[in-house]
Amino acid sequence: MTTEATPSFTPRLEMRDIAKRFGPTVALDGVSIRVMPGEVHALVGQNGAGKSTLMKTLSGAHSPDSGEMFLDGKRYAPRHPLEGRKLGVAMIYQELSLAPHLSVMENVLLGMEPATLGFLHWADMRRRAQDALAMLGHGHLDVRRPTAGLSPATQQIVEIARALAIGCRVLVLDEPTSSLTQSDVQAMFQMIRRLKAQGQAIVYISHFLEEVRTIADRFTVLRDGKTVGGGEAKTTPPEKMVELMVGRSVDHLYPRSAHTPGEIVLETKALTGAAKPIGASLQLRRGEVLGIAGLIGAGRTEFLRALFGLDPIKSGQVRIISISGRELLLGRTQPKRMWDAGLGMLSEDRKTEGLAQGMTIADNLTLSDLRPLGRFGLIFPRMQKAAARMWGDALQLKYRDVYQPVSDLSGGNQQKVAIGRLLHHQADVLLLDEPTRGIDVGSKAAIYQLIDQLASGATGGQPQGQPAQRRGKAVLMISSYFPELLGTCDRIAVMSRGVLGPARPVSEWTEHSLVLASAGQPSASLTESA
Amino acid sequence: MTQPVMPYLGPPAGNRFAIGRWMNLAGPAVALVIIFLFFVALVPDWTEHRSLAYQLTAFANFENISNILRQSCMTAVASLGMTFIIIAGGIDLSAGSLAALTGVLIAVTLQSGNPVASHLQAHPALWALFAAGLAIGVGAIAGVVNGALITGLNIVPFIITLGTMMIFRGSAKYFADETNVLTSSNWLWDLLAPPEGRLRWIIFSPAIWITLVLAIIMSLVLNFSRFGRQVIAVGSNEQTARLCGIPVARTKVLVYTLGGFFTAIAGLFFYSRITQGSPTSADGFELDVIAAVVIGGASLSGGKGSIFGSLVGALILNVIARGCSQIHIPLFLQHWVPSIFKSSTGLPTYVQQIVTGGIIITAAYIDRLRLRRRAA
Repeated sequence: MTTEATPSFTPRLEMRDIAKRFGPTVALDGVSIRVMPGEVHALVGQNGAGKSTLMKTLSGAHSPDSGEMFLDGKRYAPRHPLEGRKLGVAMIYQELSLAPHLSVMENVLLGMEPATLGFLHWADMRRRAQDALAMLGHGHLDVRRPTAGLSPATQQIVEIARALAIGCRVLVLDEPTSSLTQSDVQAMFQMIRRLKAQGQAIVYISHFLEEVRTIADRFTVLRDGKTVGGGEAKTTPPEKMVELMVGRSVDHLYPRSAHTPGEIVLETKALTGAAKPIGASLQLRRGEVLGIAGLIGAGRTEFLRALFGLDPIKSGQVRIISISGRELLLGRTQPKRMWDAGLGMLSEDRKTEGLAQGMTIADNLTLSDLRPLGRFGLIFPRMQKAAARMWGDALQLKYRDVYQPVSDLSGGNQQKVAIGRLLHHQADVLLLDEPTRGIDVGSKAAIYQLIDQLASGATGGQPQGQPAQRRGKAVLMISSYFPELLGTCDRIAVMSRGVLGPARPVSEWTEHSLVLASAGQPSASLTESA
Repeated sequence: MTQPVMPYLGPPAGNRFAIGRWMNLAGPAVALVIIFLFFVALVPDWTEHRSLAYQLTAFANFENISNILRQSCMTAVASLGMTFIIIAGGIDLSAGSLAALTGVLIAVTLQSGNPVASHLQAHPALWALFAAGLAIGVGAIAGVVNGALITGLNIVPFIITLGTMMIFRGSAKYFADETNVLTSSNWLWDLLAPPEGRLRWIIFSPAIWITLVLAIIMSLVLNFSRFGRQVIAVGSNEQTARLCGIPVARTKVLVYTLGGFFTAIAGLFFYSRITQGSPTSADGFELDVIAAVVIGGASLSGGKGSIFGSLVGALILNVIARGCSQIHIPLFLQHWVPSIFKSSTGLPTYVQQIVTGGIIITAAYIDRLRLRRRAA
């Protein structure tokens, strides 16, 4: 590679013994990191390990209590994010921050538009925006299009182009692939390699260790605000990284107890939504975990939403057989009816849909079913508190008080609250849309274990004091992270461009075949031979 | 399973949130006390040689406090419904017009020349009760209309209630034939009057007690009922509410119905105060009500607010109004700025408006600061 053609021994970025406290809480306790030009340096660690505090310190949003930072050997101490940006540190966050009504070029040059007396130089703008996009290998993109209609992947490209247009020296990518599909991830890696070849220093934050091994040169692990290790990304096995992150060895990330599939509890018949899904049929049995794999935008979320009544159904039916054996055949669905029939849904979007961030943990846990918390239409605080505490403890939630706003919690703990709602509701059929998105390894392991237990009927579903009912629940789970589907599901179906394929036992799938099927290449040979 | 370590949550350092919640309630109340004490200090003429007790009761006397409470009743009772509306993420600009409309309807029903009324001369008290009930019923229906238009047409409440504001005002003028509707004396007049005769033992006007009882009920509904929780959920995050199976549209319609209901009671109090139906009364009243709710700590983006806070907000507005009209202007100020301080007592109403405006902005800013500190 041409990277090493520029021999440079001064690190592009060096952070030395950075410490930061918030009141009595130590967020960072002596973190050091060194990134060379043309290096992709991965920063890994669980949620709460201090990654985001470190990156906020780097961007200038926080100033460190002690420690020093250097950019190309020069002292770097930004007082605010704008100054950090001007000095060449660009952050690309998970949540994209484009102005949807403005065009691509306006977004790329936002805040630094070439102008005379307030009048914009359109030709100059277009050229500069195109140059920045060309550096990413996307010079063909129409820079006059508004960004609103662009795919998440393209929007991300525009954001990175914006960073390049400013002339950034260190590019920080925070979970860049979390909202991308498999093929977009490959394109993103292409782009990163390109920037690397141009001598760009890149800090890459990710929960996906396979990605880190693929794209990063070196990595640093943070745990509890300290640097606990690091090394060559390509030669370090993922188990070793996880061990460093967790501080203990995780041998059972995907627990698997015996599931005994029972009767059918949910069936969709040629379910068709506004645009997607197209004629999706599926049968879900009690005591099994059924996964739906696919690319983002394939229509999996739309399928679940139409099924649950959040999006309209154009044609097709939903058949539900409730615990009591009552059968419902619905051509129109609505969430209330679904909850009443024993279905519960976990939204893929915790922030804007899954949880009411301004409400308390207790309210969020019990919102779908307030009836058992009192009589005569009332809520008795004592009963709500007891219910919330019970689920909080059962899910090993880290919280101070059940009347704390849910926004105080870390991502993993918020997700536990969102899942806890289904448990509080005694939902019999659980529809989980990306249950482990954006949460740390420890919480992920806890959620895998919970899903396994719910399906096997071991624990988790029954509150204390109620007769243990050893009936498994049915779980329908969407994930874009295929190893996790392979690890937790009994059967997997793949959705591609709105069309749902047949569900096959997990043993018939490999990560490779899931990727192929998701990309719309039905493994015909496999179908025939099976 | 061992628990993962979460460094930034730190050790459980007391129950910070409970204190925060208490602060939410205490903030407006503390402001009310400070404003009240401010007027206690500034209303008396300290150049006079009087006893301290005399001076201190120049503002803080029974008569004055009773008047402030009576003046606050309209805003306070209407704020009960507005609090629910604002918590649910909405707004109601039609409250002032609706209060006028319901006041006019009461007057028209009781109008001296009303042919049906003459048949019921034998039971004038019953007829007045019917008039009040009719007006409150119409108010609730007007609320249903607001709610149904907002949810049915899926248009923001600001626009819908701006429209119904004009419709209700126009209707009030139609029913009143564009003049004030005179009525003969009836027991509704006593609602806002200081209690006399056999009723002396209740100390404050009946309207004050009615407002208080309704406020307690609505506070319980907000904090301890399923409906209250659903209202908060709809305002806090409508998508979450939908996901959780909460009937969002029905909740909104109910909230506006409550708004119409309490606004009509405010209309009844207006009628009781002016003893006639005036189609042009309660002009801008909705803004007073919204101000009271916001001063009370509610957020116009929804999900947050309290009945107690809104009552305090209504009191703050009226303490300022009354205080400003009674404040004693020192001689040197009259001398220096004669354009504002024309007489020795009382500030012009524009000063009171400017002060009130400042208080609203300050209340919102303090709220903002508190949120920011929590987020850090």
